[in-house]
Amino acid sequence: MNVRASYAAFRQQMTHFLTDPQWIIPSLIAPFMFTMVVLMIYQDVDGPVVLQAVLGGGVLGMWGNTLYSSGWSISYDRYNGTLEPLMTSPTRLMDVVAGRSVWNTLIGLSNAVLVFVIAEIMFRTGVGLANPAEFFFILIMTLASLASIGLVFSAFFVLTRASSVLMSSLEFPIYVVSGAMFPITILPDWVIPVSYILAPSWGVDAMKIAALDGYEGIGLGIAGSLAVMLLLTAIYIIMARWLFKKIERNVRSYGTITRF
Amino acid sequence: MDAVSLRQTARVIAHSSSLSVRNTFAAVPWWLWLAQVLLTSFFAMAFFAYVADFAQNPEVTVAYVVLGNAIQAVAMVTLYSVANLPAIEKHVGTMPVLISSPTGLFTIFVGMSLFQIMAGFLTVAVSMGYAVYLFGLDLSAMHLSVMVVVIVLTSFSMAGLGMMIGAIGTYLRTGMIIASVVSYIGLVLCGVNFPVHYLPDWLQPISYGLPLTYAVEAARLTAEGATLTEVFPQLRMMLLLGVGMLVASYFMLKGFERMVRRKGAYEAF
Amino acid sequence: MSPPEDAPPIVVERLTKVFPGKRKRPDKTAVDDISFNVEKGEIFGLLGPNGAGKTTTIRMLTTMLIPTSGVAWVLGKDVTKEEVAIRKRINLVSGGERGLYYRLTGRQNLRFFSELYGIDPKTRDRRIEELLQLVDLTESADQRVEDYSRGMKQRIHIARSLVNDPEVLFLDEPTLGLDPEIAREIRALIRRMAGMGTTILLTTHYMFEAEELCDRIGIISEGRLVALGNSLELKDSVNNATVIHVETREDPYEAIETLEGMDGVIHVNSDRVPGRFIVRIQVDHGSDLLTEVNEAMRGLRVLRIGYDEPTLEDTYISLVSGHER
Repeated sequence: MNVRASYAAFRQQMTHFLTDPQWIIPSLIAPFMFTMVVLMIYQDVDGPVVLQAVLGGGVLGMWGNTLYSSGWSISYDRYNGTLEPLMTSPTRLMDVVAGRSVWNTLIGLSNAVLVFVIAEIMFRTGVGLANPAEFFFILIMTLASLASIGLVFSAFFVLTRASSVLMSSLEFPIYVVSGAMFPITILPDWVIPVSYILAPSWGVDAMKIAALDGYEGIGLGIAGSLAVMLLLTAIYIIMARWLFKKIERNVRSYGTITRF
Repeated sequence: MDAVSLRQTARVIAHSSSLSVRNTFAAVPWWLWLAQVLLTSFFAMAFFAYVADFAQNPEVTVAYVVLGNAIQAVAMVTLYSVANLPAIEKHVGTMPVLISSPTGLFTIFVGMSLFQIMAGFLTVAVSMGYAVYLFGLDLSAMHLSVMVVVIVLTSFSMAGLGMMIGAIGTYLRTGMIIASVVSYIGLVLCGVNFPVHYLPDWLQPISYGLPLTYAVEAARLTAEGATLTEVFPQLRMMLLLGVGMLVASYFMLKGFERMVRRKGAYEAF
Repeated sequence: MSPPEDAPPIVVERLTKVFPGKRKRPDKTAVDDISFNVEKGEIFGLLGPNGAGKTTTIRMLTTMLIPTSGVAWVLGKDVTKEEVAIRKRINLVSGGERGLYYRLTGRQNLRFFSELYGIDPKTRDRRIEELLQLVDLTESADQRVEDYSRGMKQRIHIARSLVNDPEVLFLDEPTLGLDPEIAREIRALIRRMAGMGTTILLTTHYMFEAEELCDRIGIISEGRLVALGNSLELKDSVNNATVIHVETREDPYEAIETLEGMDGVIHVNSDRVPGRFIVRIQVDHGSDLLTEVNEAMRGLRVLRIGYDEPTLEDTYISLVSGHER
């Protein structure tokens, strides 16, 4: 991996984000509003449900942001005419996208913090974490796995012309199966495996174990969930590499990225 | 308006609506577009349905949430598509041509919204189907004709709101930002997923300034079997707000059109 | 097979690109069996109408496209297999305003692309300052590119293409859509770069630009290289053509129709300038058609008639239209 190029791409994405505040909508406002709705519905329910909603709100934010910003990552260059100079440079496209993906994930994290703070002020949730150190460690691992999904998304979306449709179509399905707002165990049985192949679901589960006293979740415990998540993340990275190779091959053979 | 200009206007509306159909399907194959319409509304509904299911709040049942989301779906399809029209035009670069055409932006946008509003009706029909067959919404007491009136008026009033946002969009960088913010505000303020009285007192007046609040209220009453007279107060409010917003947007478009022409903002996005 | 050590920086042998047809449309041969070399420090121009295959050729040489058949070596490396090695040492400017990050400043754009080429930080910072000076953008370096004028965007493009100090620079219609004054600045810049030893391959469809800038010109039409040489050689290569220059007061459209059908006439083109019409008739060498032309112009007030040297434009038109027949 070309760390310098990735870091440059990270900074570039940061500058873009800070100078073009419309990204705030999918990455901050939307998940924040969903969390508010859920908190309203949960407000008379006792127990750790509220903390679950707050945690879930953060997870939604990280997901929404990964989906949208990574989905646009290369499309933006195509639209902007910068894909050509990017591809004629000796840096692999994947390294550029990786840097951007890390930034996007961090923005998702800032959303999580915002939800946390607002929930604390408006709903007096009295959030206390059972195991803060463990919690933050898992959080960082989960962010890494989200960044790797971002890579897969950005490569996948750019291969089809209908990327914007796919992107907005995926938002709620992912919210449903992410296990962010409610335990995935209440979903129909056949949906649960979908949830299991999304690496962050395992991270979310581990985070909940660390945050909530007495939460059991999927049942693999923190270490087990983390291991599954890391394995899945590795698979994502391999997939992303393959997809990026395919992009490069399409461009160089046909002169366009999309072939269908 | 004399007969000739009326026919001219009708032609522009027909032409621009078919143009927007072609625009939609040039970028996206029709089956994918349909899949999006069918799936997005389903999963949005499913998300909140599971939240309600998990919360076990007696007032906010799954049935309560799914009906709210069905109405929200049609409202948002209309709002987004109408509000997005000027942005699409700007993107495509036809804005200068449109502005220089003698018809005026208003007529063209009305034409382009027609298809989107049709899409909105498809969405609500599908969403109601999901609500009844998949999430157990009971509509046995409902008068279908009343529901149709409620939905048409919902669409109309949201198109008015969308026009207003679209008008601002011709001047500002993009109306989509405002449209999204408004749609999320609607999600929280308009009684879609929980009753308006859950909100802090100071927020409730805003709820009653938005047409969606009345739309959702009317739909809930209709689902319980209300007649046209019983939902008349809500319908009247939607009509009033819709007309008011359309009139406002007409003057805003005129005003912004002049401003765009003066400043040349249609290229600066 | 690989070229010798002292081979020219660009070697193209029987290069062909066929794009597969989408949805049952027939395949499209964009570049058809072309061969040429470009020497070190040379400015080489590819001239041709839109869709002739200029951009496709450049894309193959910049490793953006894989040739269907034939080979090309840039700096001794195979464009198909050794793309990363080539990319480090070349760069590309495409005409038009796109291709920059508008939300970043000029300097940030240069910095970002420098990083993609892995330039070490000290060299990078020094070179960015030099490049900004070269393209005269030092003062607006910290402004966002979206606020740049067209000419400034084009200049920062060129600066961007120089961040890795390329040995070979590809310029795809670098003055496209620029006003004459800015285009002149860009051409001066191109000459300066060639003076510093950079090998330059550029495409254009402005005749005078090719004539003014290029050491050698290849004329490409429908994917084939139809002529190659410096502008004098090119004119000589269609030496079979003589040009008869006629200026009339009235519109000579009837005369043109008559002439176009005449034996020995290769091509007729006409132009209207204030107060008169200019007709240039390319005729086969040896066929003395002056009398016939005079005859055809009967009834028109002829301001001037006589033989003329073919310009590069005449040559180009004769080559390109000749190929179409």
